[in-house]
Amino acid sequence: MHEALLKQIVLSTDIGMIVVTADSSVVLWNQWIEKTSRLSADKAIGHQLSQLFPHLTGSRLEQAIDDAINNGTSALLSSAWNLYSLPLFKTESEDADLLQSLMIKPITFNDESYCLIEIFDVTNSHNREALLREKSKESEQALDAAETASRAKTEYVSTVSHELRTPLTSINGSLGLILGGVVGEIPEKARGLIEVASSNTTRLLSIINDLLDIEKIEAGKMEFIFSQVDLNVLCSHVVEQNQNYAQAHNVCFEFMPTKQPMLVSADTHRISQVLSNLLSNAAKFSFSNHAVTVKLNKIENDYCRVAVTNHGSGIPENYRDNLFDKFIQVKGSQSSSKGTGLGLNICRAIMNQHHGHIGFDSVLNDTTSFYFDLKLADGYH
Amino acid sequence: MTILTDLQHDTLTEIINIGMGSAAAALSTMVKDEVSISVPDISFSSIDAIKDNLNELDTSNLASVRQGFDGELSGDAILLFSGDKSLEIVRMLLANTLGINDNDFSDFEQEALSEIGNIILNAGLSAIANTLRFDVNSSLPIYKQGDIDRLVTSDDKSQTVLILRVDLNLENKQIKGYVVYLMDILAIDQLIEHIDRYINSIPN
Repeated sequence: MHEALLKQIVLSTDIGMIVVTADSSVVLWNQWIEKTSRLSADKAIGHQLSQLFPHLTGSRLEQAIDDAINNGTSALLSSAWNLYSLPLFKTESEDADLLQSLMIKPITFNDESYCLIEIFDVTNSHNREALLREKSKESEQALDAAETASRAKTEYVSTVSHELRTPLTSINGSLGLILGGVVGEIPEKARGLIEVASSNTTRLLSIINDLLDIEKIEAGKMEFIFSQVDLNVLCSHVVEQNQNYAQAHNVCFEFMPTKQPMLVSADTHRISQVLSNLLSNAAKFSFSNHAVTVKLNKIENDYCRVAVTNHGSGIPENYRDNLFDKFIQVKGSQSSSKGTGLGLNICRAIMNQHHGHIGFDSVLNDTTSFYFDLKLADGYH
Repeated sequence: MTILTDLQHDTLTEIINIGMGSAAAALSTMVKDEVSISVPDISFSSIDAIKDNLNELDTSNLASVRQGFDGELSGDAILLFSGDKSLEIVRMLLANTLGINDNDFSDFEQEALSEIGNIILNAGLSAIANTLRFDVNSSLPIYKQGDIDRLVTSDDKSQTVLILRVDLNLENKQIKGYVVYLMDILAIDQLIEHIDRYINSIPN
């Protein structure tokens, strides 16, 4: 490359370049540094840097130049510690306002030692980073505030639920006793009203229990007592318990056990809760006069699957990705009984604690299967 | 593997400690607080066994500052700290000036750590070069983070490693790190020859 062209490139490049000799006299002062220092090359060349900028005497930059010339070491003067190594100007400001990173390199030419100082303008990136830092701090504060508010809300719901459960249990029990004839014959007109009251208090209690379960799950306080359970026995029992519910929805539950026992390690109460939830959903969302089947079978990797299948309108596409999230309820279904939208979320949390899996397959206006998988106990693979 | 005599070992340790003293002085001025650096131990290793010799660090997550050096003695010098500790160092040092308080290791902080590494590595090299009369040039620092195998690449495989354990002390906290010099066997021989020459030049 032609020497004059090379010189032109160095002089006009968009980084600052200064070259000093062994006695720190300036021999190169490019256009970028002319502009940002407000000092022309004519006035800079031939002078020592410390004459041009007296504050550099004893500075880290002076030391780095000295080390480059005498020890051959290269140095980085980052903007972290050396915001304004050289008094440079980015704007019309009276004060130096160009933040800089400097690279100091030794150069030997014709047995003479020189030092090249490259200056990079980092003002914009520095400001961007400061802005990002500020935004990040604001986001963290907003997140903290949201978490605090969420905790307060959860505590509030939990407290209210506890307070509601005790009187409701008492009302529900009393209504049950009245319906059972403990206080004598009930007039036919009153029976219908008491049955409505009883079924609604039962529903309300179930909602409150769901809310309390969610709170326990989120606080990591839901306790599990594991024992070896035969899923055939557990499912048969739960299906039997829920037959009345099936009748109320004009369906019937059909249980299809396996010939062999399906032993798993599980919390009986919680797995019964999962199956009850799936059965009640299946009944609620089933076409009338259809059977809801509960089928057990062994699947791959030594797991046992419990599948609850109904015939109904199915799970619409737009609900499928987040069906197990909290407060998700399929709208426009044929079911008139609404829940909390917490049931499946609780089921998933229970299955997670069992290292199991819960899922579904659904065909619109045909069959929908909700299933959960549990690992078979050793010796029953 | 290269083994130094006790006298060679003590001499090299002393030279490097003098260098670290000047690095500590430079860092103290920068952060306007007392920083001290000591080198309690030096050893040689083959490149393959480098992991076994960095037992104060988690070698799967390291922060490094690397500089090449050439001239009469050539190779690479690398400063290594634990990845998480390196952020702590920058925060501790920068706290006096900027009070940074977030979780990201930004470009700004990488550059800050590069400068700390540059000061420490240059100080070590200059002490060796000046005392043992080598003519050495060093390059600019490069910051990298990751596994030791990523930081010491296959290009380095033929080399021998001089390992210095470095303790950086600031505000009653100690952060352990290492400086490793990757040199080929000729460079190591040359280093030992210069140490001997230096020892012989000292009047009894």
